[in-house]
Amino acid sequence: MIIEMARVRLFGPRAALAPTIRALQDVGVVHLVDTPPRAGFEPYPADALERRRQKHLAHALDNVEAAISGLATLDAPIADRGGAMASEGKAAWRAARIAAEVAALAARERALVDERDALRAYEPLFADLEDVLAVKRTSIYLLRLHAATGIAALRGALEKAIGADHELRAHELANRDTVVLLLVPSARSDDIERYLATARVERAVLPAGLGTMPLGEALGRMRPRLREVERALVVLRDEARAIARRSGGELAAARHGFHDALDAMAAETHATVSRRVFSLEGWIPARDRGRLAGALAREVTVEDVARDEWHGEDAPVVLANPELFAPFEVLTSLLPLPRYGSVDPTPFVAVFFPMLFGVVVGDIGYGLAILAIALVTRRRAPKLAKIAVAVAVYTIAFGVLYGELFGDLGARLLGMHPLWFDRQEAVLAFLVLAIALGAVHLLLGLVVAAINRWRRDRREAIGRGLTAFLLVLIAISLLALFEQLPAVFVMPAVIAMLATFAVIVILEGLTALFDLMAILGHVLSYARVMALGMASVMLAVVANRMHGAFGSLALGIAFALVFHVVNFAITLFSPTIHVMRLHYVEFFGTFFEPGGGAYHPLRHWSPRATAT
Amino acid sequence: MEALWISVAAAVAIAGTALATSWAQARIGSSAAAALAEKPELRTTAVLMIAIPETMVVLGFVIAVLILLRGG
Repeated sequence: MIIEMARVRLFGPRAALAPTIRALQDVGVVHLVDTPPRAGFEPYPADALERRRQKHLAHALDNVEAAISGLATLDAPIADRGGAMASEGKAAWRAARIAAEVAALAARERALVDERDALRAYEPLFADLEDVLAVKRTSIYLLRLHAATGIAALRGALEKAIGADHELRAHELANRDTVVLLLVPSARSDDIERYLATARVERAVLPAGLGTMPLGEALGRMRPRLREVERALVVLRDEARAIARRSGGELAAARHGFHDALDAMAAETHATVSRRVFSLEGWIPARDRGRLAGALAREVTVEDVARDEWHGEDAPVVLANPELFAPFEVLTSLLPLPRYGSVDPTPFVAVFFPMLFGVVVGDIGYGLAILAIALVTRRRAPKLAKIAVAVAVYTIAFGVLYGELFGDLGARLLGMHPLWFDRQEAVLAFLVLAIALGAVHLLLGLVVAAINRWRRDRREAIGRGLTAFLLVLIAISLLALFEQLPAVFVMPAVIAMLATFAVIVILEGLTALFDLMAILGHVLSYARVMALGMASVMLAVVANRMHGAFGSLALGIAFALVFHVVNFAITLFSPTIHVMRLHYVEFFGTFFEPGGGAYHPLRHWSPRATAT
Repeated sequence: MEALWISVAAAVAIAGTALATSWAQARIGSSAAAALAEKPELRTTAVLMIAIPETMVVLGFVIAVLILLRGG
């Protein structure tokens, strides 16, 4: 449901504006809006001093955020603790110092990581280096080929250029390049230099720090340097953790403090002021009205803005549903918020979404599988898990009514019988059930719309009510025509239908005809419940028949299991989409009014508030 | 012979609506993909738009079932 909001206006001495805003942050329930202009009041003017302070705070906050994110990248995250911030000036100065310290560490870390990665790329060479470097009077070349196939060509070209008087040792690197150690007698080094220059063979670039050394020396230094770099990285991260331990609380407190101070300054711009008085306006949940008055200083007055001074559509929307329904806000939140004063569809979704899903899937085995998924995911996604439990309960319940356990497996192995009807046989009964559910669902939507709009727009409310009545009359006529009700009902129902339709056309014009056709189309759209249900059960039945279709029992059972898994995956996806669509398009179309604004009360900053 | 025509009628009912649905979904799907690249927040609308033409094939399926039931 949408909770009742009140619009309040606060008056107080101009000097009390800043303390009042701090008090509002403490209470955390007022969604401030721009205060409308009134005689003698002007928008709150921020002076040059305040603008400078705002700039200074924003810069300090940037430093705090940079330090916190820098520490996080150095594996030294800080816990989000509140606590009192030092004075703004001192906290800003400390933040700048810590940010600079962390930035220097981060820069060193980046350089070390780059060097470590470059050295690690050459790790496949390390095993070869010791004996290569031990050979005297040998020139060593380190070459890089971008394709392993180039080695054969290089080998052939070297044979031609200097004969067999050389040795090639190729190693594939992690990036798929090939690095080649070429060993030649020192006496042939001029020939090799000439060949490499003319053939444009790429020399491998050594990691920074080793590039200036002679190659032989650099190659020898690679392995020890890698160990040094890895040790340096450990030390550097220890330093970062030490900073996080030493200054983490200070940074967290400063982050909260600076955010709060900036939010408070932004809130001041909603105020209007006279020479001595300030005025602020905002929305609060009506139930928090008393809490607000109690939290403010005595010289600040809180008065309710008269109902005729504001429009319902301006009020922010807060949804508050019982614990059983609240998880289904996940599904309604995919659409825009309902307009204030309209109806929150969450409770209806909580009842009909799992029920329609159950009608479609209706299988004890699949229901138990969904329940298992809900249990596994209950910690990671508690809301979705609760929805899944509701869905599983209905799926199992309708599975019992249809007598289905993994399709017809229950009937074949355990002798299960449907308590209501067999979906494989009673196709027409299933279709009638689906359309009847649609009629009831839309009838409910129309009645909700009629009741909700009664105060605002009697004409529209009567139109919705009569459309609902027309739907009932159509159902009665059809039931009588198909001999489910006495035939005597037909004529009165048809006459009442014509009369009702005439009244609707008078009230809403000829467009009522199109509305009526759309609603009838929407009722028929619920036939998808039957279509998907039929498909689901037939796929399960086909899966069960596979064990005899492959000659081998084991192969047949394996295919049957795979088919059931595929059917289960389809079952999770397709009915969810279609049942959601039945709600969003067909059901919501009867009463849902989007356009509600989100409720953002002025409160103390928290990382979660930023994330949302 | 009558059974053949009943089966053909049911097949036409489902095939025609399935083709219409797939054509509509192909058009809507490609447009939705382009829109989502620009505005990811339109995902719900996109899913709904893609699901809307399925009414055709659902009704085609229902008509096919009714043809088979009445004819059978």
